[in-house]
Amino acid sequence: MSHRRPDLDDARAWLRAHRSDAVPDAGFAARVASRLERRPEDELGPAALRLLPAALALTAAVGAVAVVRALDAPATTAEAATDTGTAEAAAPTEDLLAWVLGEELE
Amino acid sequence: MDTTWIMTQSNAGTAAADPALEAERIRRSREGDPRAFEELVRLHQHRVFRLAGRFFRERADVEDAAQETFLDAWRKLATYRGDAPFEHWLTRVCLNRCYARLRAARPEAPLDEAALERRGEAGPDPTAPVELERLLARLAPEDRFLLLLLEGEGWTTAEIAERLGWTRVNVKVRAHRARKRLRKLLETP
Repeated sequence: MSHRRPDLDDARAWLRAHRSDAVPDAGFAARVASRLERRPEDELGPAALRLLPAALALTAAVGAVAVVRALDAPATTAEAATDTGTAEAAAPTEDLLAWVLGEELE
Repeated sequence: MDTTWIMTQSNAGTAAADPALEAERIRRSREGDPRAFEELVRLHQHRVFRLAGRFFRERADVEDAAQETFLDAWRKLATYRGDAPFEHWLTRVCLNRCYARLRAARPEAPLDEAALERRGEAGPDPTAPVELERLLARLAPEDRFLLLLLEGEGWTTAEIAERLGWTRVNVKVRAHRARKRLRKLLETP
């Protein structure tokens, strides 16, 4: 077989014929979809919704504790006023205002 | 009902997308709906494969280029203004992705000699295609990219400029240089 050096026409023909016959298979679109990056704004909305019940429960619990402590505070102060020793001993760890009030009452 | 229509059409790979349905898929995709985007992929996958297949011979390369094209499209969807057909915008994304892949490919990557021989055996003149492939593999990726669009796709420099978003002068200069280098390559013993 003769060996002919390719010329410009051969190159053009080669370029025209240069193509893959690959076609997408049935799973191609699903593979693309599985690689899609979730955008931050898409992530934040559902995440906030998921956390909402827990956030509400925590807020309610903290509020309840605050109310209970507020209701208990006068009684604690009165008890402290009747027992100076106890009030003095508890001063470093108890509510500062109660300790000061206890001192004044004394 | 509309999903069935789209899948039928896209599997045939010939019919154009219904503009209203396509616009709906685009709108939902822009809102971050991956299912809507998957349907857009089905609508355009044949077109993207055909274009990527112009630059890459191996199926794995074509698939990678096509996947990256759609991932780029997903990330950049907000930049699609809708004043031109979506397929034109997607064509530009695909061309830019293929161009980047060609440029990123190692120039010293060895040719698959066995594959070359197999292809050469298939044709009536086994020597010329194999030798041509070896010769054209020595072209710079930028030159091969433009020559494949000019000679392979048969696009004019104006069409290439429009579809790539390059200036016409830029395309003309690059095309002139690419053809000159090809001629030189063919003349060099």
